[in-house]
Amino acid sequence: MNDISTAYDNQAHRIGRISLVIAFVCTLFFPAAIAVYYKVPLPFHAMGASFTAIMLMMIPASIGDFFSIAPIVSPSGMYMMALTGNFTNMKIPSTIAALESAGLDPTEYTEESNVLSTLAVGASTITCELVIFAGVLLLTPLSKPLGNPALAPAFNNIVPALFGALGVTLIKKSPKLAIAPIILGFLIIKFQLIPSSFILLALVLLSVVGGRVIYKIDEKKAEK
Amino acid sequence: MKEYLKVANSPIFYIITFILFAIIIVQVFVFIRMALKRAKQLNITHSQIKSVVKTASVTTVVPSIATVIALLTLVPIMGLPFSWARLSVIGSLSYELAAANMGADAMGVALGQSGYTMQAFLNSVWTMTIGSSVMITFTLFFFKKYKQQLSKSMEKNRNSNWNKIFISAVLLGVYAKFILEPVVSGGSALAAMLTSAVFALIIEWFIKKTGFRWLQDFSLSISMICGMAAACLL
Repeated sequence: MNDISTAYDNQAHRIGRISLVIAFVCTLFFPAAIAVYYKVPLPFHAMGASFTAIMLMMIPASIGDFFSIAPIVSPSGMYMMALTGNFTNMKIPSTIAALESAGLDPTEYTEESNVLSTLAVGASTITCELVIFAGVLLLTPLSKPLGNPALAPAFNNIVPALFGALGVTLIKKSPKLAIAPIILGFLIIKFQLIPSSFILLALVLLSVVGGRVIYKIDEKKAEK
Repeated sequence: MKEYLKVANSPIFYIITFILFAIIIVQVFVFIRMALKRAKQLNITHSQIKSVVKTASVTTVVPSIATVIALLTLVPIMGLPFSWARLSVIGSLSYELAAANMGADAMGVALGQSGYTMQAFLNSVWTMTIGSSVMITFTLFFFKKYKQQLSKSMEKNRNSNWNKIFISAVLLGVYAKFILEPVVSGGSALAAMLTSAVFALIIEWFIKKTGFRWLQDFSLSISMICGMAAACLL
C-alpha cells in the first residue's frame, strides 16, 4: 500500500472516529433530556439491570457483525455503517451490487474498490435516510397501505428475498467454497447447536477455515 | 395521550433528532468528498462512479421501505422523533423493540401499557441508546488496528489467490446465515428466497442473451420484489 493510500485511510479513520464519538454523545441527549429537562429521577437499579441484559444480547452479536464486515468494507464505509446500521440487510448487499455494476469483482479488495465501495455506502446511506424522511412526512397516509395485512408477508420477507438473489450469484461463482458454510451452517441452525448471537461469527469462521483448506489443496495440486 | 408520549413527541426530542440527522449527513458528505477526490487520483471513470451510486441507491429503496414499516410499528410506542432517530442510527426494529422491552421489564412494567411511567420510558430510552454503543466501541477501538493487520496480510498474499478466497469465504459465511434460516423455517420465507434466486438467474441469462447491460443495475431490486410477491401468494 502506498503513502497516499495510507494517508487516505488514516484520514478516514480520524474522521470516522470523531464523527462516531460526536454522534454517540448526541444520542445520550435523549435520556439526558428526560432526566435533566423533564426532571425525571434516574432509576439506577433498573438501569443497571437493563444495561447487563442489553450487553449480554449485543456483545456477541456485535462481535459477529464486526469481525465479519470489517474485512469486506472500506474504512470510510465501516464508519458510515457503524453509525447508521443495517449492514447485512442493506449496505453490504447494495455495495456488492454496485461494485459489480461498475465492472469490479467485490471479492477483490483494491484501492479502486475501496473508493467505489465508499461511494456506494454513502449513496445507500443517503437514500435510506431520504426514504425514512419521506416515511416520516407521509406517516399518516402511508400507514393504511403499508399496514395492509395482504402485504405483510412481502415486507416480512425482504431479507430472505434479498439473500436469495445475492446468494445464488455468489454460490454460482464459488461452489466449492460454499460447501462448508452451507452444510455445517444448516446443521448448526437446524439443530440450534449454538446460541443465535454467535451463528454469524461461527459461519464466517467455518467458511474461512473451509476456504483455507481448499486453497491449500489447490496449492498442492498446482505444485504437482 | 399517555404522559410519557408527550415527552416522546416534545420539541426537544425533535431538536435532538435533527442534530443527529445532520451529523449523519455531514459524515456521509465528508466521506463522499474524500472518495471523489481519491477517485480522481486513481483515474476512476465518471461512468463507474455514476453506475455505483445509481445501483447502490436503487438497491437500497426496497429494504428502506422495511425501515419505514418498522417506524410505523415503533412510533405509537416510543413517539415519532425518537423512533426516527433510533431507526436512522444503528436501526433495526427487532433490536429497538427488544431493548425497549428490556428497559420496561427492568422496571417491572409492560412496554407502552398502563403503568409504563416516565421513569420506565427513561429506562427504555437509556437501554436502547446504550446498546448501540457496543458496535460503536468496537469500531472506535479495534477497527483501525484490525484493518491494518488485514491489509498487511493481504499485501503478503498479494501474489496468491488467498485474498480473493478469503473475502469470498467471509461473504459466503455472512450470506449462509440469511440463506439457511429460510431453508430451516420453510414457508413464505423459503418461497421468497427461492423465487428471488430463480429471478436473479433468469435476469443474468437475459442480460447475457440480449446485451441489455443497464438491466444489471436493477437486477437485485427486481429479484427481491419478485421474491416478496411470491411470499404474498403463498
